[in-house]
Amino acid sequence: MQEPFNITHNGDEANDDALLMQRIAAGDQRAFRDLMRRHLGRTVRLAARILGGTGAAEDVAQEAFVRVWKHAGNWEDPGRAGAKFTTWLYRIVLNLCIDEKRKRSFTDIDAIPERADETPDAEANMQRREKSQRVKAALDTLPERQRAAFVLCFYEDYSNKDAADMLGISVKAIESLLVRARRSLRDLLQDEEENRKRGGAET
Amino acid sequence: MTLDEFKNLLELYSGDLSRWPAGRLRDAVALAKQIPAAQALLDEAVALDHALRHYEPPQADLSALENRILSAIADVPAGSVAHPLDTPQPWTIFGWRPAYIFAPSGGLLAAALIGFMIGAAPAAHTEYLLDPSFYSVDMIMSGDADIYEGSLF
Repeated sequence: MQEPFNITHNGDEANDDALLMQRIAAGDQRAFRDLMRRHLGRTVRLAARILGGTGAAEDVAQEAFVRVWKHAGNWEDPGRAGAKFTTWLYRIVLNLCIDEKRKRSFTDIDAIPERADETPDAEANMQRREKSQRVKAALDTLPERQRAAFVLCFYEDYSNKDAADMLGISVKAIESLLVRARRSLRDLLQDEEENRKRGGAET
Repeated sequence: MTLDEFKNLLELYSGDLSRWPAGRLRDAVALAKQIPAAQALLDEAVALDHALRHYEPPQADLSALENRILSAIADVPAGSVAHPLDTPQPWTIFGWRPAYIFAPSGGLLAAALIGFMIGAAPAAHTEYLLDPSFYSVDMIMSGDADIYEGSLF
C-alpha cells in the first residue's frame, strides 16, 4: 500500500488541499486519491442530506470528483485570491444536487422502502429510523436553496459566510434562507407531533 | 437585547450558542437568565435542534465509491477541460461556438438593414424648423412658467 503524500500536516487544511491540487493539475493520481480520501465522506454526507438518500448522493460525489480531476487546472489557489478548495468543491456538489433534485421531481429513486431490520436492537433502530424519517420528510418540503443553506450551516456546521460563498449568494441572503428554513421545519415538526399525539389519543 | 431580537437570533443561529457571534452571546445569556420567556425560547430552540439532529442519512460504502471514481478518471487526462467550472458549458456546432458564428454575421446583417432603411426613407420635410413658433413653449399650464416666460430662446 502506498503512503499518502508528504503534505504539510500543519493543521492548515486549505494549504494542504492547495498542494494536492497543484499535483493533480499535473496529472498525479496519487494526489487525487489523497484529496478524495480527505473529502469524499463529507461530500457524500452533504449530498445525501440535500438529496435525502445515499444512492443519488454517491453519483453526485462521483461526478463532482471526476470534474475536480478534469478541471484541476482551472482551480486557483486561495493564496492567489482564488477560492478555498472546499468552497469550490461544495459549490460543484450543490449545483449537481440542485440539478439532480430537479430531475428527480419526476422519478424519486430514493423512495424505495428499506428492508426490515431483524437485529436484536431492531426496536430501538426502528424508533431512530422513524424519527430520522420524520425530519427527512420535513426537510423534503423545503425549497432547494433553503435546504442547501440549512444543511450547510446546521448539519455541516459551516459559518454563514462560508455557506454564502458556496451557494454564490450574499450573507444577508443566506441569513434569510436560514430563518425561513428553520421556521418551516419547526412548524412542520410541531404539526406532525400534534397530529401523532391526537392520533394516539383517539386509538 | 430585546426579546424579539433574541428570538430572531435563535432563528438565525439555532439554540447552539457556540454558533452565535461573540458580540451578541453575552447579552443573550444575560437575557435568558433574567427573563423566563427568553429562557423558554432558548429551551424550545434547543429541543428543535435535538429533534433535527435525528436525521442521519444511511452510510455510504466509501471504498467502493473511491474505486468507482478512480476507474472513471483512469483514461481521462487531468486538467483536460480548460473552461471554468462555475459557468454553464457552452454548446458548439462542429467545434465552433454559436457566438463565434452568429456575432459577426449578426453585425453585418444589422449594418445592411440600416443602409437599406436610410436609402428607402422618404425625403425629410424640414420647413417647420423655419417657423419661430416651433421654438416657443407655452408654460401657462406649468408651475414653472415664471422661470421661462414665453420663448425658450
